[in-house]
Amino acid sequence: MRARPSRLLLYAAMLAAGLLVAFPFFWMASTSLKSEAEATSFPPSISPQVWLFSNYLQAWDAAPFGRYFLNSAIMAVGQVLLGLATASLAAYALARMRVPGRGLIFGALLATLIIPPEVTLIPNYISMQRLGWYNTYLALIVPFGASVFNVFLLRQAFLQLPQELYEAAVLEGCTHLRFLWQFALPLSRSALAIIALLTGIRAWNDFQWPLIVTDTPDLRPIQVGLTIFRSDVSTNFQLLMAGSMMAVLPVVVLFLLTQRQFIQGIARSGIRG
Amino acid sequence: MRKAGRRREAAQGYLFLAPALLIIGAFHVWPAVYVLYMSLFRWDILQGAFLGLRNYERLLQDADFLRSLLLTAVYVAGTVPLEMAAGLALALLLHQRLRFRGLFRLLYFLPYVTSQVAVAMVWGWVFNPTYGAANGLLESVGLPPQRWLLDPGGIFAPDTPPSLALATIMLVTVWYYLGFHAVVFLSGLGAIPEELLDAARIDGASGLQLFRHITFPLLSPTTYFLLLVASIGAMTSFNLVYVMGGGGQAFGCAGNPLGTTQVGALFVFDRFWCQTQLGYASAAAFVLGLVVLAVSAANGRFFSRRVVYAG
Repeated sequence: MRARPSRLLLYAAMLAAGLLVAFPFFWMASTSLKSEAEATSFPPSISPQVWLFSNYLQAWDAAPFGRYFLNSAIMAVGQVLLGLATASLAAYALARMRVPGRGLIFGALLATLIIPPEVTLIPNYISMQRLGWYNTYLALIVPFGASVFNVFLLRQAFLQLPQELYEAAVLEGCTHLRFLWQFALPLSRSALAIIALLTGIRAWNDFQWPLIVTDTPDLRPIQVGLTIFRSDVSTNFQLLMAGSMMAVLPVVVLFLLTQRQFIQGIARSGIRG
Repeated sequence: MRKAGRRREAAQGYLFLAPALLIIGAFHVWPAVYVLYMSLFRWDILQGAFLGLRNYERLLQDADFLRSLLLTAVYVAGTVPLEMAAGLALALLLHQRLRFRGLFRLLYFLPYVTSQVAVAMVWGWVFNPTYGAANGLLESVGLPPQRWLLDPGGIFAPDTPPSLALATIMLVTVWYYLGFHAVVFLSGLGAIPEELLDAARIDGASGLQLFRHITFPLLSPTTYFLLLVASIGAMTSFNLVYVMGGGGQAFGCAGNPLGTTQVGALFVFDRFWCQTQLGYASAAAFVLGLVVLAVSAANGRFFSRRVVYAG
């Protein structure tokens, strides 16, 4: 019987923490539906008196959000596809092929993890200028088109494939490329899904790199567009919150749909963006 | 025949490795070398005169740079322990057999997948000095309103960091990473063998003793890992600080108000992007990178003796 009140306390703590975490999301949604007069009244009202969904249309028209979304989508999908391709090929060579020096190559790859990405920012900016990639999708996609972490994760998955499967396939005259495509990749779906999710969400949320390598609305992704939108709408906070909602929503929906794989992926790998 | 086959397999293997190695080499390894080269030159929009180590000499005398290092240290010290402690507390909570815990785990984790830019916009609005919810809350309990992100005054003493602006950003940082720590700690807790805890319970250990002598020591690999990623992340933190510090807005480039939120990554960005001193900014980035490496290495040495592994 003693357990009862302490359990109540645990529930109360869990709920209190939940409210603190959820508050900004609630506040963003609430403000995004208020009229300008209500958003700038003090003390603020908790929820809108009239729900103005038209704020979203107004925000959408006030900046090229459609273009921003398209750019973010191209950047995210591009990074995911290129990242999956480069990691699959490299991981397969490291796990399943007789390549002289592959231990050394793998070790060297792991060693590059100690380089803090921040030191690479300025030279990469110069490289984009020199390659003529400045203000192109190439700059938004290619530099993030391969990651040691992805190679590492897929190599682990490929190492766990049964050796008999491989030997049987080779007896049938299966080439490496076909074995990779027909067996190794389908059998490693969960690792591929984690890589795609983490890469895609990271790309969608990326800010500093696209900020410095794009300078026209035609190329800007949503996160950069949002900071420009902030200067444009200045005190129209309901529009800024509507814009923020739009920037957040695709990822939140994706996360809710895939949360199981996602949280397990994070727990196992512990990447921090 | 066999030999030729082997050679072909090796050649094909290198071909498979080439795209990944090329991208990682060109955009991750090479720039780490090139940043050092750039730092030895006067380099504004174009490469200029060779300066040797003079950019570094200038850094050591640059009050803004030294302040940015101090602010980085303050930012790390004020966020990492807090977010880890709170994350551990939430993980212990979620580890109990409570209903709805899956739902709450999802909720706690939500900030971590949302964009830092959007999140910074929302918190900037919450802490708006004229209309914000934070001041609304203060007023409802009879406290004076604050200027939050616009206040350069120190929270402990007028000219001592952190300023109220930086402290507010630190609070948001803790909010953002809390769920990440909780989820990783939770998986660490799941790996602790239940028999050990049961055995100790039979011997009459209290809840607190269980935590101090079994759970916490056995959690140490996770704790160490989180400490490492969190401190590296905090030392190079950019997005949240930049956007909440008014970055990109008309009144100055990065690290407002009065530079009191200009942590290391923002100093680099300010000199690189806003003042186009690429050589000087490269020197600052290189020093910052060395600091990150040194702290990680020190972390590793310190904890390799203190981490306990089960089984």
